[in-house]
Amino acid sequence: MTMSRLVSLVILVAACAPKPVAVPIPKLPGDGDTNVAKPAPAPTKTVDDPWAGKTDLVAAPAFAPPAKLELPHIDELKLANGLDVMIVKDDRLPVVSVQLAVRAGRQLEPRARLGVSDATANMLVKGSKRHDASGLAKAIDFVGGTITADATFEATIVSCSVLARDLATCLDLVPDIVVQPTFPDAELKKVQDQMLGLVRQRVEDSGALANQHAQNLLWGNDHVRGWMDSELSVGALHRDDLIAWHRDWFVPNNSVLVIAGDVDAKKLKPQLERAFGDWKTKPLPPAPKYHEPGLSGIRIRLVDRPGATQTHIRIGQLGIRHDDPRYFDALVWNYALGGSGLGSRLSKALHASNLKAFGASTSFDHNFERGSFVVQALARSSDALASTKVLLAEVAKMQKDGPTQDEIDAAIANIAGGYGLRFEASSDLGAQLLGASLHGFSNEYVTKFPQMVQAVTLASAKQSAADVLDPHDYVLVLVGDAKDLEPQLQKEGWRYEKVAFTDPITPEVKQPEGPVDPKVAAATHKLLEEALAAKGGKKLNAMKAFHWHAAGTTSTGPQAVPVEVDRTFVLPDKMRIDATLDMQGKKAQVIVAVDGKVGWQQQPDQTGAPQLGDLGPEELPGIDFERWREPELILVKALDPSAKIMPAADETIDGKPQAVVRLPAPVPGLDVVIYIDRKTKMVSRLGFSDGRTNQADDFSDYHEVSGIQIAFKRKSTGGGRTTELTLSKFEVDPKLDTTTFAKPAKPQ
Amino acid sequence: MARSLTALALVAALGSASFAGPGPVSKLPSIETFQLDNGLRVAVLKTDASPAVTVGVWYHVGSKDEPRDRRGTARMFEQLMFKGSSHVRADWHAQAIAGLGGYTDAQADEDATHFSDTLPASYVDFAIQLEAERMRNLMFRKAAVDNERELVKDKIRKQEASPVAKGLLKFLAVAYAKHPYAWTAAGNPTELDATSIDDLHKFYDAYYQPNNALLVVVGNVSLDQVKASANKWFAPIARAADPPRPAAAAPEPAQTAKKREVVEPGQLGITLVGWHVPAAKDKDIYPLQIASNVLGRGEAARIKVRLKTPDPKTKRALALDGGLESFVKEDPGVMIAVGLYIEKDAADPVEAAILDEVQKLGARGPTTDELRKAKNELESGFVFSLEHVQGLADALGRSWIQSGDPSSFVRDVDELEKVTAADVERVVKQYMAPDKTTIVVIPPKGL
Repeated sequence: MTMSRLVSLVILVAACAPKPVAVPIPKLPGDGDTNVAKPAPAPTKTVDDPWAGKTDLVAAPAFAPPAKLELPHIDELKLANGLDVMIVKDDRLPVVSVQLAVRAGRQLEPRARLGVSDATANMLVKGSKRHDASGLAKAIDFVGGTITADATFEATIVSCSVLARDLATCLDLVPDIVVQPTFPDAELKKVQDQMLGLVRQRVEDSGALANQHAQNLLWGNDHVRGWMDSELSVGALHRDDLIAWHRDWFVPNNSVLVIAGDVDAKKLKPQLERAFGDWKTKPLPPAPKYHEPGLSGIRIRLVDRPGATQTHIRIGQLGIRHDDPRYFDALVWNYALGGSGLGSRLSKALHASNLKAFGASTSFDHNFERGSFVVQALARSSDALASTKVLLAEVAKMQKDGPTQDEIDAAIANIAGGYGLRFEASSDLGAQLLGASLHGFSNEYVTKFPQMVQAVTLASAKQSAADVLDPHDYVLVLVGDAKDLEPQLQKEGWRYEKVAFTDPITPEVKQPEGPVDPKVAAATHKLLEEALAAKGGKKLNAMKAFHWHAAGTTSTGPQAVPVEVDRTFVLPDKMRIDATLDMQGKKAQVIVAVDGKVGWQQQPDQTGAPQLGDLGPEELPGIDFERWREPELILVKALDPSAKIMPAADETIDGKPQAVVRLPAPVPGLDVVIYIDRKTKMVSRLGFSDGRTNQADDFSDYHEVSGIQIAFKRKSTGGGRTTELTLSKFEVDPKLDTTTFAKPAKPQ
Repeated sequence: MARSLTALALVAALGSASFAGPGPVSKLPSIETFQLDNGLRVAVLKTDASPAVTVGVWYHVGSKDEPRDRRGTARMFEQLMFKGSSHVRADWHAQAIAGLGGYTDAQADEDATHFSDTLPASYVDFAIQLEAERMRNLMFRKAAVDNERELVKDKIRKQEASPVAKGLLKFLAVAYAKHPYAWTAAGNPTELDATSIDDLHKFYDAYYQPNNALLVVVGNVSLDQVKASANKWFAPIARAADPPRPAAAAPEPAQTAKKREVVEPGQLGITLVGWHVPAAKDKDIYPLQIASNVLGRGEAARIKVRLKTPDPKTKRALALDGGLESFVKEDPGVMIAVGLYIEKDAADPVEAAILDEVQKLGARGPTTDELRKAKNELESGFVFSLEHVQGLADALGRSWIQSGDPSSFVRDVDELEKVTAADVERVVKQYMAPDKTTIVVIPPKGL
């Protein structure tokens, strides 16, 4: 309640804050957790053709096989701690790039910690033991370099580029952020806000939504490829999750380092031993394994976006592994089918059909494990199914007949011809070697790639298309207005499932609600009793009312606004909260008071004048919940005989072990999670989620007041807001004015 | 680290970062130049560091050459040049290059419009042929022109959704009383609607001529190869009359008094404070680049630190973000500092803080560390831009537009290295004095 009132006032600040600039993802042959191919622009349909019949048009040159790619000298070594290193001597320019890949990407994330690889990568450059975020930025700015960290499906990649003379800066910063990051909470909040922004953006972006639904429908809810980040999953990430992720996977024996540029390998080796010497090898946890879903028949999902005039179409099938012998053949027929923009079969077929559809393309996930093969297009909704049929017919035709020799030649000219262009910069070269290494390929793979493409024959391409494509088993996702799409689906007699565009793509993880082991239940009950005794026991049970005053700050963006809060509670159901925000010298006051089932509120209007009003019945559930979860009394609630407490696995907060107990609220669908410090028995955190936002209230700096332990420092995080308060006064059973909870005649 | 939002928005708003970076790189091969009889200049840089070649054509025409009631004309050619010519079907140029594993690029800014094809070096002749073809044989079909006009208008609408970009356009209109840098290459939707095919054709005939262009070829090719192809494809094109130069007839008068405008409030408070700087070929540009860096680039930049550091007592920062960018151009450009904020009463303190930081730099110059950092950043930015043949080709082209010499950029790092703290102090006093300041304030609607 309090916070939602504050939000309405300060939301303006957040709405105007500048958005963070996205960090470019380094290129890696192994990337591809989503289908990132962008639709080509709509072709201009020419009614007149001034070139028809002309014989003097410029002709494309004949294919000239590319020269063999020569790699510069590469030193390969293993440091004492097991870190594999490649040093590439490339002195074309006085620059150097240091790229470190840790095999820790989305594919290893636990279902309950989705987004942890991304959050961890983003946080690496936000503070280490030796540099805070600003210090890191200043250090790299000083030499005019760049340092970035990004997570992909398979790995986290840290990349640092500087002039060769400044190599020491990268050798200082890269080990520092990889080995001893600090994951400061304040920075994590910003990173989470960025991630939440992306999740919200996806809901607005039908194309991105279609990609994710296609992956989910194809791989299901029991496979990591089927799981999509949500506001809940991002909001649920805590600093401890990042620490655990980093501790488990960020080890030298799970990483590869490539240094490419104008360097001297001999001098570099001892420098690397020193730079990475503190990074200790240790055994890795087992990687999660998933069963590939069987694909049998056609599954269709209609994602309803009312008002959309266009429909995003995705057809998904299983792809192939990077080390599949048919990989190069697949590159070639994929180019002909949908990998060559307006020249591809799909684009031409749609163009010829006169349907309003464009942007057709096809793509593979280039992962070590088998990923997806996805066909995509955008169509006017009235043409959506007809366009889908055109796409399916082309897939079936390619499966049956394969590509033509002309198509194979064109694909080879493009793929093999353009390959050399990927090696212009030292960092490009480093990235290619790193990608090959992550997939277990030798450096020869990198040099022989064009020859492997050129070796594709008509027969091998045909065989590959016949084997890999499947005209009968696939998933189809349509994101558009159901009002336009359902009649078309029904006319065809195609069975489909229908979801709203706002629905979560992956079902949220639910805690098991089965019977609790009686022994565990008894232990939990005992723990709660100990916590209650530590809090104040009988004194707490005897308390009839309390009041506290606190001061601190609340923030949604870079600017923190000073705030003062008074909270008065009279058991069982009278509550009043006064909050005063200091907006650059102007005070804005918000009051919420409730007595039983009635209440009132006061808040400033647009001009800043205070407005008084009654709380409506729709506000009552929120108020009930706020009263019920009162932190001073939550242990009493948990020990009520009617409470259905559910023990959960222990967690840590700031390295301190915590017992975790889930307590269902009387409001349906809401649980409060209580974290109790194993050592002090004090409540360290109360968490809850209302399905949209997660809030965590942290408590520390406990002192005794009238025999009751009170947290004098409190921090609330949730919904993009952080509020930090320090109590200056806590009164047990204070003398209260009789009018405290009564609605005043005019604003106060 | 990623560049700041302010810097990015400023660069995006002007259509291009026209900063023609500093420096020689010891390993840079020599640049050969020659000229055809029809006036076409050719610059060749042979490098075997890459299997690729970039073939670029730089036309010396930008938005400053546009008629004052036809803003956006230059930018139309970014698109139209791909929409077909006598011997090349619409879109085929880009498709053919992509088919060979390459890519194309096009950009119009205030001073220049340039096109490039980057592809395996063995196809250099084909790329030169395609460029010669569209230099004089472009088709102006109504359907294509209408379509491209809508695309440009759509880009303008998207740009105008950015408050910083909008503020910047306003700033330029206030800062330039006479010179066509008062507008950018972004274009104006109403005037684009009024621009006829005939207008476009006239513009094309005036500026898309061999004697108004530089052919630049960078990559694994020999001078002889380029000479042969240039002679084969470009030599048959006739020389044209010298193109009109409206900007030369409209030099910006020296500013003698402070200009300040407060415009309609926006959601976000934006204060832009700027100064005119000399043309790119003036030597004072080097210390000004350093001053720009010290004041506005990176986390440690003075204006950024001043605006973003929270006051220890109130825990409040003056602004959300701030910075400074310099726009060095063929004719005298500008340097613009920006502060972004939410609170209504932040406008005056932000403006005062920016002016104060400039005054301090003028009074005491940069510290040794600041000078070193600025030089490092400018040098490394330049060296990294040379990693790709396209980056090199762009450096040659930009150099030609700004100085008339495609190889002048190789001297920039040396020149920057020579800059002393006293030089910086002097140019800040000289060019960034209070009476030479232009200020545009967009107050926030605020709380």
